[in-house]
Amino acid sequence: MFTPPPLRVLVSMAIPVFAGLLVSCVSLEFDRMTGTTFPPQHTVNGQPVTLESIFDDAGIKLTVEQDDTGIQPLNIAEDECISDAELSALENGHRHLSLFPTAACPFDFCNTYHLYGAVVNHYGEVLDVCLPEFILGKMWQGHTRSAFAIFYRMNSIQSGGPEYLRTTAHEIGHAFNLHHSDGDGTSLMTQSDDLTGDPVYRFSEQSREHLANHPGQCKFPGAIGAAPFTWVSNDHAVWVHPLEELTITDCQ
Amino acid sequence: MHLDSIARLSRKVFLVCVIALLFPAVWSNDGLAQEGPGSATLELTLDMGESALSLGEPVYATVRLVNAGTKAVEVFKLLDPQTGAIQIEVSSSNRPRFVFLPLFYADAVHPRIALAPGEAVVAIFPVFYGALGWTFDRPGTYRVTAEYRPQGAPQQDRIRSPAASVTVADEHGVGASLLTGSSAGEEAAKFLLWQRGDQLQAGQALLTGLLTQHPESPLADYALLAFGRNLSRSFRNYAVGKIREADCEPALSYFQRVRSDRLPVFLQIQQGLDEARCLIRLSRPAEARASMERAERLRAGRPEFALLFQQAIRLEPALGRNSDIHTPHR
Repeated sequence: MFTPPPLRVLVSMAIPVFAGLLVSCVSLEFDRMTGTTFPPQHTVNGQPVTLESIFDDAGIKLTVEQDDTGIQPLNIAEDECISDAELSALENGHRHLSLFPTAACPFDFCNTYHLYGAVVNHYGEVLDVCLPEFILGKMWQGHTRSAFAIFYRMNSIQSGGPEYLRTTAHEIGHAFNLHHSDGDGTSLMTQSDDLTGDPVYRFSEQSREHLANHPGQCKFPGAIGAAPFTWVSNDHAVWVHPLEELTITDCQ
Repeated sequence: MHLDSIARLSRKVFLVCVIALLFPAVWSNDGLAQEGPGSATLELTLDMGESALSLGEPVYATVRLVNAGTKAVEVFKLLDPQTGAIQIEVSSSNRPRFVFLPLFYADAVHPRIALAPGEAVVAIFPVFYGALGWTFDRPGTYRVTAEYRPQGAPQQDRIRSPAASVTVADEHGVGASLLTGSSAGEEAAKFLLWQRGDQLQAGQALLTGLLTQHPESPLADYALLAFGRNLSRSFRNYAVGKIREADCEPALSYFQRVRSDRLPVFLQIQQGLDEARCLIRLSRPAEARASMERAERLRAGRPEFALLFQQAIRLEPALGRNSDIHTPHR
């Protein structure tokens, strides 16, 4: 006669099954101001390259949810730069509390991390000073790495599709706790001034290792208990990082 | 491996060797030394202003990178933690060593310049609040150092400033009211940091209460300055989709209450420039000129303050034309 196994046995059997089905994906809520475009698709060796494909290539499911695409730029004639306080106000006014992607993560039991991005029709400000043609992008909410902005007034952003796509992927890379030293001279995290050859639209092997294998709290943007920017696992810290001072954390 | 591929490889290796041999010669011709092994020519100093502070009091670091060598050296032109050009490390007996993390991290283009022998790059920036919260979050003595990492240099070639010491005391619990970890306290910190932010209503309310209860505290002057500076400039409030125009009368009222001599020179200059800008808007040219002259005296020709004047003139071009200050603006 068949005796059903106790509930705890069923639960212990079910956990690995659910864990196997659990998908970690990042939902990018991407807003932009009128007069801007989203980062265009770029073609490399006949293959289309998009934000999604760049991250998919590194094993990360990124869904880009174009959300509010009609934010009216608030222009002040004598001041072309948006300040950090104003960027923060933009996020306060436009970021949703949560966002569940529909495409990449169709299951109810997936882990979804929420990243906010905005393309602003301004220049960026540094040290309380407006310096046009100087800042490409910013990443903030550094304690969880969950927001970024691209400054569309920059000539290289407006006029250069590939540069625009590269900058956006680069800022999202920071949100994934990647640093300039995680680039390899031509890959996405290398700063444009430090390129040693033609830029490629993929992450370096070091970056890919981080994205694939390091603990979720140390990589996913906006994770509960996320490690702040530059706080990394020991495995990440042992790589040579001449440009950054990293803090080792257990990523718990 | 086929012979032709070996030949191709040999040609590539030869080419690389030729370029490698030519490169130092070309480099030396323009007299520009790359940072790195030769970076012993760079010297870094850190000044934290006051060495004794109250809990919650805004703190600004001044870093100076000097080329003490005989050749020009390529360095970052803006020594700001936001751009990653400089890193600030803090430690105390009460808190493990940590690296100050700014609220925003910026990616810049063409961030480097050639620094001639004897020249310096200087920057002043806030370090009291960042992505990790309040930097000096409890009474005690803190050891602060700045670090500059030359481009292309190995990790051990980093340039470190001598340590500066900061002692923080909690005077009558004034600062403790900001450092409770509440969202209002966080907003207050951001308002003091940015000296603007209309959306930070809870933080502004907390600071207003502090001004009423502790008008003599050091923090009060920083709060008054922040309120004045915020109102002296228009604000793009994207939270509500509107620009709040500069409101100069109340801004000047706040400025008048600031005991400027208690503030770092850097902030005194900013106050003077904002006052001058507002006074021009209010068609009070004589007073505007007096404020501008005071700012110039405080500057005393120091290049590190040049950006502040550039920004003020960008916002109010009349400030750059002495004669225009006499002419009513609006």
